[in-house]
Parts: sequence; structure tokens; C-alpha cells
Amino acid sequence: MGRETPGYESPQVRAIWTLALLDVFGLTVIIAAVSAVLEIGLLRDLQDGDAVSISKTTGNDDRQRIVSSLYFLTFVSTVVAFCFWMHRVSRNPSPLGAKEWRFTPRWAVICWFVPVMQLMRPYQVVREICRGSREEAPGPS
Amino acid sequence: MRITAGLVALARLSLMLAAVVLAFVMVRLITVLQDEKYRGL
Repeated sequence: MGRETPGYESPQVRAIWTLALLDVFGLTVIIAAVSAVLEIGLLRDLQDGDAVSISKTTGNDDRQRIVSSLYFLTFVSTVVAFCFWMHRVSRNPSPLGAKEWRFTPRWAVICWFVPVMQLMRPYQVVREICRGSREEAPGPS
Repeated sequence: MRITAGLVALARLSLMLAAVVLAFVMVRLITVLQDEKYRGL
């Protein structure tokens, strides 16, 4: 990677972090889903009038609290890593030769959080990044 | 009522899992595309 292409910086390291955190977050989502299923079962028992011990309900609440905290922490970390990765990859299309690149890295990240804009602009940004990063797109002369 | 809330939470978690899979594919794909193109320059 010692060749001179001014401005290009590989997103590899940020991608590794993002993918690792996406793995952890995905696992947390599955754990949260299992916990939700268990809670629904407990609520069904209560609704049917079955005897449910206090320890079982407090245990359920404790488990849900822990899972929610884990979910929040992994979600925030994943979003932060994703934003860093998005900032990096949205800087690269111009050094890679994309001529019609119209999004600044800052806006490529911010658009994911702006209401209404987040419905369409992230898709446009990612589409443009893909287009500018494809092998057949013209490189710098 | 709380059972409905639980089911809604479950539906939201399913959507989130789909979003995670989508993001995973996107991150891998774009990173590989950019590095491949850089190597080809």
C-alpha cells in the first residue's frame, strides 16, 4: 500500500472495528429477543392466572434491565464505529477518481441522523460511494 | 396490553437484526471495493 494516491486512506481498520461491533450488537439483539420471548411467556402465565413467584418476576426484571443496558452500550458503540467508517469511505471516492462526488464526509455521516433526510439521503450516499468505488469507474489520470 | 408491547418489542428487534445484517454486508462490500480499486490504480 505504499503507492502514491493522494488522499486515499484505507477503511480497513475502521471496517474491522465496525464489523466486530456489529457482530457483538447482533448477538445482543438475539439475546434481547430471547429475553423478550421469556418475558412474554411470563406475562402470559400472569394473564392466565397461573401462580408466578415474586422471585421469578424480579428475576425477569433484573434480566431485562441487564439486557437493556447491554443493548444500549453495544448500540451506541456500533453507531460511533459506523460513523467513523462512513466518514472514511465517503472521503475516498474523489481520490479514487469519482468525478461526480457531491457529498462531504461530514454530511455523509450527519444525514443518517437528520429527520426526513434520513429516509432518502443515506441510500443516495451509499449508492454514490458504491458507484465511485467500483473497479470500472474511471481512476485519476 | 403488556403482551402486545412485548410482541412489538420483538418485531422491532427482528427489524434491528435485519438492519445489522444489511450494515454488515454493506461495510464489507464497500471496504473491499475501495481497497481493490486502490490496488488497481
